[in-house]
Amino acid sequence: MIEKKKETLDNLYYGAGKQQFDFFVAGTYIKDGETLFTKWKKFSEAVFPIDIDGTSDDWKTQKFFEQINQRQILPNEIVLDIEEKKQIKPILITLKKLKSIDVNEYHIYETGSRGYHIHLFLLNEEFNEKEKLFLIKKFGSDIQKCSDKCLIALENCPHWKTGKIKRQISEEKILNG
Amino acid sequence: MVKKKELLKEIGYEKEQTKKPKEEKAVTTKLVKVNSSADKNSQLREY
Repeated sequence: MIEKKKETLDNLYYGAGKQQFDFFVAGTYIKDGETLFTKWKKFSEAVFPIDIDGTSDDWKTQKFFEQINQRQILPNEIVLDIEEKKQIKPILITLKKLKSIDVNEYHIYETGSRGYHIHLFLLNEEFNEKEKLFLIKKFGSDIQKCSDKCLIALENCPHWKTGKIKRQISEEKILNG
Repeated sequence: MVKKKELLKEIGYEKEQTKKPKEEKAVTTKLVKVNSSADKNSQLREY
């Protein structure tokens, strides 16, 4: 699990972000039976010192890494956050009609809590907040996700509310299901 | 990966941005003549 987290975060930083965006990560921990939030740390601070197996020589760094379960939305990323499964199909149909987007360029996740995320990434470009808002409104998803102050559940990690893993789901499953 | 310019064009963002903003209604001020010749001597008026 911890190795998968390292892999997921690295994929975002090196793959989707091309090392251009030092995005924030944060997590939760339980104290006296209550779920509390950690402070936000930059990827460079929280993940650079972590080895490929998800460990670090520094126990504080290691502890923080273990707590990470949320991340900032990248400037080159759009997150379409929808509540109901039935809302995904019409969005996918619209996305498929767009010539500027290929099938491999969006990823659908069930968040582990309520709702679903569809992630879209740009190559070497950024969206501004106005553009994000327009796109998000166009698809009728949650407009809070246009802000860079908004953290989302980290992919392939347990959701802080439910403990269920945010998993990718196939497009076929949605379209044929 | 997705090309921003093409995507925004396809979803109508650029078109939306080039739209002229709606003309704002001109604010009209109605002046009330207080000291008309008819009531030159009357400074107190009820409205």
